[in-house]
Amino acid sequence: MISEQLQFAISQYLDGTLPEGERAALEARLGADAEARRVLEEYRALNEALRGSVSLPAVKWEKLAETISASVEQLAANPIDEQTEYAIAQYVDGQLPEGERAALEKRLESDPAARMAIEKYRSLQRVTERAWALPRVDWQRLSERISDAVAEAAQRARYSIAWVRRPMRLAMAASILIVLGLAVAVLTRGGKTGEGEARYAQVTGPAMEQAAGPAVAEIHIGAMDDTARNSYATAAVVGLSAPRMHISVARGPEVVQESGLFQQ
Amino acid sequence: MDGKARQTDGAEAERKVSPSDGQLVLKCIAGERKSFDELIGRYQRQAVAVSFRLLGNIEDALEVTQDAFLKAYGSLSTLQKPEAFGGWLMRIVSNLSLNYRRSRKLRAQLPLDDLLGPTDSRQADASGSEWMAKDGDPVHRLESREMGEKLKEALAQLPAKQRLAIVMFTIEEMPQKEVAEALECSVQAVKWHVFQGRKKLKELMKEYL
Repeated sequence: MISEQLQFAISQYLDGTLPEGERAALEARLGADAEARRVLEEYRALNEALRGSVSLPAVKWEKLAETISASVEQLAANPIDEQTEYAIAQYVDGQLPEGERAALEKRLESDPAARMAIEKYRSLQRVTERAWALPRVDWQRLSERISDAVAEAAQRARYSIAWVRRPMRLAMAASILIVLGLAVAVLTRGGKTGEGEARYAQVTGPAMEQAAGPAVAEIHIGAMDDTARNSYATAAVVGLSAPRMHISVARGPEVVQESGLFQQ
Repeated sequence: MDGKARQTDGAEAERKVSPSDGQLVLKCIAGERKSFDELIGRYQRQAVAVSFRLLGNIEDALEVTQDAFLKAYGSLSTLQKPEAFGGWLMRIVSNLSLNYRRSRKLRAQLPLDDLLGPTDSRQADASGSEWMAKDGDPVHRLESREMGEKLKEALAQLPAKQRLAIVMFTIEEMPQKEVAEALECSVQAVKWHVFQGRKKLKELMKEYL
């Protein structure tokens, strides 16, 4: 088996491009090494096959030169105007209206400048697509991951609602309890009415404030107010509008999960 | 020495007294449109040949050639080295050929039938049956056709740079410098692409060599 370096030298030797200084050494090697000679013969046979494989069909060169020259002349004489160029850009994007498309295609048959412009736009499109091509993404896995992350966030939020995250938040939890107690008291005693009638209670709890931690439970009794809800930077919000309850979990200004409406 | 002296064609000597490619390019940029016709005459055969080797179809090759000259004319002012027009044009030809998509309906203008010789030889040539088939022996002719087809398939399997290097340098015998210009690489890299392409072709064609 001869080395790749020697094969490369043989290839250049066959092409007449081997540097002068290496030629004598290679010729000596070819004289002594049958395998090196065999490689040279194979390359030579391949060259002959390549050159003889497909001969160029008979082309009327003068006629071809005249045809190309006429096209170039036309290109030089009729550069395309802005309106046509705009139509061409739309055509390439597939946005040109039906009626205009037929007219443009008719023009393309005889207008090399317009054809060149089309090619340029297509080429630009190809380059752009390549340059900003989205890397291959496993969409199934990505959706599973996003779904897992959302579920995890929801889990964390529920955990926060159960107020067992950190001792430092116990103070706030206590105040919420008081408010909730007040609400229950008002709902069950203060506003007694007949069955089936609406019960109203309005309790203003501790003022809403910016949550310090990543997930703080806040209980709001009364009508849910979008302005209030959006005021939490990071919060789990429980809105209780007796007899219905609505839970939403917010991360920053964005609601990431909503429970829908619970009917008590 | 086994390698042969490389010349582009018989027009080489004539070019020495004619304006150089660079001079023609500069004249053309200066507004002398007819200078471009001289460049068309010099390079149309090479352009058709390279495109034909890459596409395997003479009609498509003629269209690509026309488009390549039009594109070259439209971009002439961007050519940094006017003397390198030939290699630059071949770069356009090879890019257009490699990205070629048939769109004949857009080019009713090119009278292809007027540009080609007799249909019979055209079909025979295009199918690759001319390889060593001059003796008329039917068996040999069949083998030749098979080999021609196999070669075309093998060539199509090479990476673009190797294929272009083989087509331009080995088959069309273009000067290495011009091939380097067309491939936008060094002369040494052209030698390497030719060698790598040759090695792969040898492997793919081993039952015929």
